[in-house]
Amino acid sequence: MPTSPKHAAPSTSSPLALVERAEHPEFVPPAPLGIGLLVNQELLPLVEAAPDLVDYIEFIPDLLWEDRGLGAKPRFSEPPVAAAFAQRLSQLKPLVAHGVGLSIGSAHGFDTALLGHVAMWADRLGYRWHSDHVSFTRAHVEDGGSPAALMGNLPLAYDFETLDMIAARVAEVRRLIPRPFLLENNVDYIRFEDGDLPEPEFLSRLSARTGCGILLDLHNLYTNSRNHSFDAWDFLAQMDLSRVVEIHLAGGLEFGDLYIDAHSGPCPDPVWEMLAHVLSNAPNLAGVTFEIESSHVERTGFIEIAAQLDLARAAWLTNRPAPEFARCR
Amino acid sequence: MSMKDFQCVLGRMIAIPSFARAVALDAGGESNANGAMASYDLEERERTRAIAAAGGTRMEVLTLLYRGARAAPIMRFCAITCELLGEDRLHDLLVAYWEQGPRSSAYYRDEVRGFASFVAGRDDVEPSIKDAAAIEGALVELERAVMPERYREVRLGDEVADVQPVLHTACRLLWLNENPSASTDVSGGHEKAPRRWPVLVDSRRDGINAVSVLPPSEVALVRECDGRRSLGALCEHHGVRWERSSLAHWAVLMARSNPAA
Repeated sequence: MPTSPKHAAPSTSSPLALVERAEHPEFVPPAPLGIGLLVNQELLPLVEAAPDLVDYIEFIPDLLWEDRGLGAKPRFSEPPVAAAFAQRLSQLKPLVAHGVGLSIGSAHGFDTALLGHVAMWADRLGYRWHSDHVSFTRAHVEDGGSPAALMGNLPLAYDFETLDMIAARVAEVRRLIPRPFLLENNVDYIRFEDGDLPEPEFLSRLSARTGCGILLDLHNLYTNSRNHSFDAWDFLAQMDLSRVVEIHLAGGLEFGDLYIDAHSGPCPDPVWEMLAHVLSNAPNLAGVTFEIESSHVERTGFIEIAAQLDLARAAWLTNRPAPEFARCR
Repeated sequence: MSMKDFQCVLGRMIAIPSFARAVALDAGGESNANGAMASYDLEERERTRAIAAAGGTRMEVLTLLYRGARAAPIMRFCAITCELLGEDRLHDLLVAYWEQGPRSSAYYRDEVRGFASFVAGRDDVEPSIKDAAAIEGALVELERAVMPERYREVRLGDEVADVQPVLHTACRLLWLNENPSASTDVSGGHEKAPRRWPVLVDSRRDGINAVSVLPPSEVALVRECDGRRSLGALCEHHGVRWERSSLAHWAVLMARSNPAA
């Protein structure tokens, strides 16, 4: 495996330890919460009717504010309905934010204005932690103008250059938002197999260099393993699971010869198997979140969604150390 | 490595399938000065990655996901327009719309408004469908309209002589291509038909009630509500009896709560 001296593991006895410590900020995982649900408008009635189903609520703040784009004045606005929804969520359960707009892997620049807006919401709503994706969502597709919003989280090459770029940005995120920050492993329908690092090592090094945690999306991992014919268990073996703070679970759809991370319903069995393993081997895990896309909520039904949450809780109770039982059902 | 240019190529392949097809053919190596990627500053590894990505069905899936995400708000918020177009014409129009260029905004209002404007500008779309697109586009745009601070609605029963109104932020006057209400045409065809028909779109009201036909006098009054002219004078000038007007019943106008502020 190629290594770069610049990216070697930090020395604890070197005269440059102070400098190295600055380059490897402390990783402080949040207190464990338990089982969570990514809540949208369609799922709010479920949480209000059966609050014991979850220990925390996760939401996507980018979908609530309005962003008129780079350079617009004012750039952001907050429709009263959206602000009220966020406030309601924060009143129900501890709140966790899952961003989709940082585009932390975009080579066109880092949107620090957006980061400032994220910071404002974090302060207002008191997130326990927040997260985004190891990907990019914006790129200049045509000459001139703002980078196009390409929708979805596009793949990065897991190169040292990418690692350096993202590490610097994570430092900025942590400076502006002094709350635990996690980065999620991406679902990549296209992968660049000639990267400098395998993905799990890339993620582990990123966490080690920056102090950020990892949001391990097991369904993304499952999807990638199916579409790119690798063993997800090899990925888990290479991953530093001590950096995993949150797990995402979801279901998907077959689409031709591909499997799509559609957040369309129940988790497939291999995801549950991986969950049991990670629960037993991730000492700093704080939460397991089930995701379902709003358009699939009605078809899946509240009973099935509640069943998925119950399965996650059963796995947590079975595989986590006893003192962490946040709730027993 | 020029990561920026590489991400440009990747994004462009997703947004513009013809570019992906051209890149797939661009296997001439670094010396291919006329290739699809010739204008991009790419290292050899990036060129190889781009060509490998372009050639497979996975790029088509990424394009499908990208276009699906763009289509979803259109099909939800322009449902009537889509229904009137029918599946085949809708598909053709969406493809033509997407080929205009990638979206710069990730927000559904911009997508819906963009598509509505696109449909309105097409010569091959019937006037009635253009009207539907205009109305649905306006409703989405007005959906999250917020009355500015220190403004209030001007309602039935308000003293209006000195009020200086503007059109409510939740409302818009649209000029349609076709007469939205044949019953209002009492001319029996003897009068010259107007080229465009005004309707009021009000996002505070649901369904069919969101679109209303105003009498010509009230339309003319609304067009002159610029925040500087008194409502009393406007009513007198246009022959509108405020207490009997649709403008009063539906609170279509707004004004500063304290004009001195």
